[in-house]
Amino acid sequence: MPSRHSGEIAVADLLDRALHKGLVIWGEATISVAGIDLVYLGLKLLLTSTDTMNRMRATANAPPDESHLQAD
Amino acid sequence: MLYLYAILESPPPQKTLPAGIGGAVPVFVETHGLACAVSAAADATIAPEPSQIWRHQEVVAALMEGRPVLPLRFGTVVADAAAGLRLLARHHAELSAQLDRVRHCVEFALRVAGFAEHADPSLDAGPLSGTGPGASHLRTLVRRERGWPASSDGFPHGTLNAHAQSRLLWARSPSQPDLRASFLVQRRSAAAFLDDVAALQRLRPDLGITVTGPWPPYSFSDPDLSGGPE
Repeated sequence: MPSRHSGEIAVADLLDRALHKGLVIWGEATISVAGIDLVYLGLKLLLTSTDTMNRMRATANAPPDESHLQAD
Repeated sequence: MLYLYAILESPPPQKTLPAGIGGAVPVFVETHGLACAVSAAADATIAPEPSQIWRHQEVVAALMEGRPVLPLRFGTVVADAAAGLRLLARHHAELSAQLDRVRHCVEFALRVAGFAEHADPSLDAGPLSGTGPGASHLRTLVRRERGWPASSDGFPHGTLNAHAQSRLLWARSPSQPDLRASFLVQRRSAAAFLDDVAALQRLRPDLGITVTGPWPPYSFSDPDLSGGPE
């Protein structure tokens, strides 16, 4: 098996959790990452994968007419 | 703007906390028997850089010493302290119940590399073949369960479940091909859990089995707020 440095895995595990898990609160709280505000106006948006984050970051860098946000 | 780190029971600890996002000093807002660790955020948007995420993690980790915490998702901000207090007041019952669920518990992250995934074409037919978000979500859940091997003599991970109060399976994807699972484990069972992970690795040296933690219970912090905003 190709091995990865344990620190690299710890970072990956933390990114998984801090970016895609953790408490999400309804109402006035906003998850504001990479310049995109996900305002919770009665909707609970779940970001469930690093793929989603990659898409978010790509969207943030895309021209306006290509902008869209997709959540799993 | 205020950046939110974690929710815990009042009174919060009096100790000095690590520097938070942007180097700001975390403080607490408190109401209804709950406290939320917050710090001033100069910018309404938070860059998801590893250094910032580590700061978030370090604050949460300092808070979880000896008490249950619910870590907020990285990047959560509110307009001001009054908004933070309103959130605590509005959801205090659910948040208190969730704190009880994670009391005395930590999260461990398990990864298994090299375990072949078996494609299941049956998921693309039948009742789960729809193209809507509901069917897609159900397919994801089924794939997670089927992608995780059943406990057997060849992969006897049943003991890991026995140590855990709860378990969450992560979906595989081309960019995340490892089997990944989160386990919510009582602190007193943590050593036994890690012993069993080590035993699993000895039994299956062909697999890359790694475990990290103890983490704050990121994967087990979201209470059921299906009642929606009030």
